[in-house]
Amino acid sequence: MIPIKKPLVATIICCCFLTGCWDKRELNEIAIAVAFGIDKSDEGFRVSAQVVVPSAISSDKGAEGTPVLLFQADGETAYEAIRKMTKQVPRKIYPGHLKLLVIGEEMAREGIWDSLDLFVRDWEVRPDFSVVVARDRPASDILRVPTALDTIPANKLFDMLENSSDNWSEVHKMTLFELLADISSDGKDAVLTGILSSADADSNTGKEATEEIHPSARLYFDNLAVFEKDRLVGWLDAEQSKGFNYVAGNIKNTVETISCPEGGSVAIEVTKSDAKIKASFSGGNPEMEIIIKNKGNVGSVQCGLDMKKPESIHILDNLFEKKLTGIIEETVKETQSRGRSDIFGFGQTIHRSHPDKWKSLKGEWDEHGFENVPVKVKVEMNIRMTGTLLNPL
Amino acid sequence: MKGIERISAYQFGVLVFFFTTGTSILAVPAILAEKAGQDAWLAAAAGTLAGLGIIFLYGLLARCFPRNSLFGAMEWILGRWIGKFIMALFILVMVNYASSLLYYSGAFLQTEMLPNTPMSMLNFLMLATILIGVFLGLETIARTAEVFILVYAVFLFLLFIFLLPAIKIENIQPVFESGAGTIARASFPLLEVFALNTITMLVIYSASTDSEKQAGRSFLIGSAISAAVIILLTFLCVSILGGDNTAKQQYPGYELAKKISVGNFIQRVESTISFLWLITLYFKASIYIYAAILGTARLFGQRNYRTFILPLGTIAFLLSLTLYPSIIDFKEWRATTGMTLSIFSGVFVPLLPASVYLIRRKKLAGREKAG
Amino acid sequence: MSLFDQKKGGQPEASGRDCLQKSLQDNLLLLKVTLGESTDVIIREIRIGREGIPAGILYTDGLTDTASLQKFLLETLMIELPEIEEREGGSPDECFLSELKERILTVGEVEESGSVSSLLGSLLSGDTLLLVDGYAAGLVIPNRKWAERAVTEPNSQTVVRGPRDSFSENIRVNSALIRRRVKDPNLWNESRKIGTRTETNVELMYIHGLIEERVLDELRKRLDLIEIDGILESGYIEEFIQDTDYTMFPTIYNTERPDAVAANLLEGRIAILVDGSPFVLIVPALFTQFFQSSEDYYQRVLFSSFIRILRYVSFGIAMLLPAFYIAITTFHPNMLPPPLLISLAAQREGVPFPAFIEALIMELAFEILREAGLRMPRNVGSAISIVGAMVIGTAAVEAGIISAAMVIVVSLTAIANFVSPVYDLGFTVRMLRFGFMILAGCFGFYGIMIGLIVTILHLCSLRSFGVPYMSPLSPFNWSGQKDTMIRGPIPRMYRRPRLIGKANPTRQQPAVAEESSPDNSESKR
Repeated sequence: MIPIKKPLVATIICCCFLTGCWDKRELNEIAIAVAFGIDKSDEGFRVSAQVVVPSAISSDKGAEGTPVLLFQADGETAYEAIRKMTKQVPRKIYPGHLKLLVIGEEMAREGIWDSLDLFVRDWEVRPDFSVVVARDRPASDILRVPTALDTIPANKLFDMLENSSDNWSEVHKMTLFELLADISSDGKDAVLTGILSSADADSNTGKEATEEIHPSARLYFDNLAVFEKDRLVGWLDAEQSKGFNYVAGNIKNTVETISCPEGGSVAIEVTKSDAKIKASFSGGNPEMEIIIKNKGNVGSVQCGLDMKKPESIHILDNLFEKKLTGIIEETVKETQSRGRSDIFGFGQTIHRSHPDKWKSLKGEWDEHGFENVPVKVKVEMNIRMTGTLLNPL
Repeated sequence: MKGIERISAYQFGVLVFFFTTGTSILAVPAILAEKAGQDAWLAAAAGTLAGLGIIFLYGLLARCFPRNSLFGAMEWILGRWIGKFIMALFILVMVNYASSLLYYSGAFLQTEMLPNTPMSMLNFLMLATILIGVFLGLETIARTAEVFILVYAVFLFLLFIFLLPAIKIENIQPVFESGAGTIARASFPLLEVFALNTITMLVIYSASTDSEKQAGRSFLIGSAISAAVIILLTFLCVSILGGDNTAKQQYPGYELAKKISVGNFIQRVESTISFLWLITLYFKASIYIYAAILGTARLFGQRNYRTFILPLGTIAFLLSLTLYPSIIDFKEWRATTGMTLSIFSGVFVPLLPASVYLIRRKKLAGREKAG
Repeated sequence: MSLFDQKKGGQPEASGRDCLQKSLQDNLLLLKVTLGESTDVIIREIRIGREGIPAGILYTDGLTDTASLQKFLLETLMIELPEIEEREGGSPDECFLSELKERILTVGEVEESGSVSSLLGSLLSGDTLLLVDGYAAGLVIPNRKWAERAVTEPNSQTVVRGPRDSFSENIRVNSALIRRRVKDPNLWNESRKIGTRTETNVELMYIHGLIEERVLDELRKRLDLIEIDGILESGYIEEFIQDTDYTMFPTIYNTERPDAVAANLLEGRIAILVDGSPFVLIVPALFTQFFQSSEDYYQRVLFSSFIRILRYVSFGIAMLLPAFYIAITTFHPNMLPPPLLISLAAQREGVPFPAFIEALIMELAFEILREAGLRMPRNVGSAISIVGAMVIGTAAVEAGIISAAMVIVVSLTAIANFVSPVYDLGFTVRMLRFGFMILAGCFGFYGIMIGLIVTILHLCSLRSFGVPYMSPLSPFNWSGQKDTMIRGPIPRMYRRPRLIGKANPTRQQPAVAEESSPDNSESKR
């Protein structure tokens, strides 16, 4: 067999040498995109890509030049637009390390699925980046704002979002993956965090802006965008956003301020919050019950409550429960009045617990079902620690 | 080289495991979820349980045939010409399967890793590796499988462990929504890849194992472990990705690996995890090709099967490049033609000799004595 | 030869060629001529006894202990012998030669031989010949002594804890070192001469009853097949007896540590000692054996196990790290954490070569430096390492030819390579590394995976004297795992390696009957 084996081996080696390396891309031949923005344009899509300039970031050479570049291109599809960018970029846009996808509000109102399909289908994109909606402006405006603490704006925004959803919980970090699950499932609609910019037309968005102590152009997250299927239909305000996050079980840690009976206020840190939605049927009609169990600590006391007494804790518990119940009822009412978009996943809950009944409800759930379902809210609070101080000074 | 190669029962079990796990890890959850939705894991359980039954029957069958291999039995029971004819058809099916696996691996690599590398190169590399293995013989393949099973187990274990935190049990609710009928229908493709194709293992079943009883046991144990792995993976897919989402994915198993993120440190490991799948595919294709080559050698009455490595390898290679114009055609082929072939090889091929054997048992026994 | 023929004209050919004559002068002339009158062979003609019988003493200068020659031969023959003859009144008779051998000569082991070739062999091995006029036979008096290296510390396999002696070039010393450790009457030694001209002494040592006879027979057969003029080192033997020539993996183990040989003998292996080589070969050798160091068994269990695992990891690093680097940076950048990707990308800015070429250059540069440092005189070696560090490390990076990460990768690879306790496997890794780099440069991870499959296929197809090379990993067996990836506690290693010590598998009786299952039914695959 040797006469066959040797040429075979030789052929393999030759083949590798002569023709190999089709997919080889050196690290200095790719443009690492950290954020994409998608807006509507006349042609269809306008895609903006925030691309890292590695040499400006690397520590040893000292930051020279701008750390990121923004490229824009229009196209009938998002894919086409990204490829058209090669007309401006000397390197291939590499989306494997995407951190943030910003969708312009205008685009979001028309539907986001068309822009998302590409990101799910492309083999290089990993669906673990965050998706946010730029409120009132095109996404490209957002990606244009430079940031100081982290030189890559997309990184900064990603961390900001993470930090804020972990410690304040008004916004919610939604990855593409979770978004897909929400959009594609029956009886649940998606929400996305909004991103806002304080920049106005004459704000400085150049590199010098990072040298200002209080730059006029700043980015911040606020509000949740409510979707119906894949179309944006409205916004929740700050308090409703938080209420939503309580119901959705997204709260990791947050602070609630409640007013004391005799004036003044107490800040309570919520350290654990579990939400459960239950569906029950009375006479063929569904009823929802939201149960939220919280645990927390006293963060700061700005009133004359005697913290040594056990009753004080009970009072605080009750006050907290009352306040949160209010917020949540308000949020639910607001959402139901807007109709059709079941962001709490009531439909899904019914589906999961009563699959047979859901079959009959399913058809008209979006039309009337969600709007009219009665919702009971039950909040439990359990304050455990009061910090290092016994009584207020 | 030496005469009949013999492998131990444990090695046979490992090969059975690789063979039955085969293509299942990456793609099967999507096929199951397409019909059964969040009940895909139940469909996996149903499919593999039924499959284990079939594999048990195969084991019995193998013990019934007093003559060694499947090929030997065919020739002996059906007579020389009919036996050879069935054998030739069977070999064609094997080659077809092998080439479909080659295409499958090439398609996967092109989709997820190497989009611009020509498929001919990818398939060639895989096939060359397979042929080297076949050239070195069954013993070497079995021993290599024995080494890789350790690595495989570690990888699989890590995959499970790392994915545990991501499980959302709500995703599989409501359980059993789709009903028994749908689940059974959904599980049929799995039955095909899991059990019917396993008939190939009979080619090396008793011809190559030291104790028939132990081999029969490891046949079952190997496929039972593989069944557990398939069920577990489907469960992970559904509970992590969600039923609808799983059905939409081309390779849900790979998508699953993208979800691994432990402490923001162990993440982005999906390229490594694809090893799990490629290695099972390698062994499955190796066994197909080994069986086909062994059969061809028997067909032409040659003692040294190695003569047929290059011709059959070339055929499989060319088939893998020309048979399927696109990935969609391939999936269609799997669901239609592939299914027919499986039924031919998995039902007809064992059933025909078995029934003829039952009818002509006495006569054959007499011939046995005379011979 | 013509002179020889003339001289012996009347003698029958058959006996004339190889047999001594009765005449001393004839014999001396014959030997002198055969040796080409080599000046290092000393011929001393004396007269012995009262009657003054002419005798000749021959020895090779430099190979013989002249002091003992003086004391035990010359003094005995020239001073004591006449006195004895005086006292006993005897005179030389037919048995004078055997009388000399049996009564007179006060040396350990005297042999009588009439064959020219065997006498010459002894002479050139350092023995002294005593020829006496009138006898067609000579006495061989062994008093070999030559300048040789003492038993020193091993160079290639050093340990922190453990015996410090190592083999030397003298086969007798070597076998003694082994026998000192194993005082078993079953430790057998069989010897043969290989090499038509070098007449090298090759000895097999094994413990009878532990080894498999099949392996021993096979080894004997292979040794007997060797037809070569010279064996200068055990490496020659290794190449002749290994199972396959075309493999990068060593299928025969070599060591210069007597304790390692003793341990292997106790496991049922066979040692091959070759005169003139401080490296003793051991067969059958398994892949996992090359990750074991004798120190593993002297250190504490957990530590040894940790080190063992470390070795396997280093093996992987040394073989695959550059390939992984190439694959990740050029094919799978999505595997890198984002900050690392950006930092690597920044380093690569301005580097003119693709990562694959970059790695190739660095690896080659390192291999060249290493080989240069190895063969140079010691004091030049340090100069080379300075140049190497400067060129490879600093200058290449600062000039922007090589990225800093690549230097880290190459250095880590190099260091990992040195972890291997046996030198041989290091070569294998160094060569395989390039293959993996090529595959990774063409196909990324897929290429590495294909390379791994082929490598393991190859490893699994190898056998060392019929024993599968990869055992006990494949064929897998549990009791073997106690001494594979980890090193189990010695009190719990009840059995010898399954496929090697099959003849007598039990090493020690388990204190409690833990392992009751006999593994006799398991056969070798």
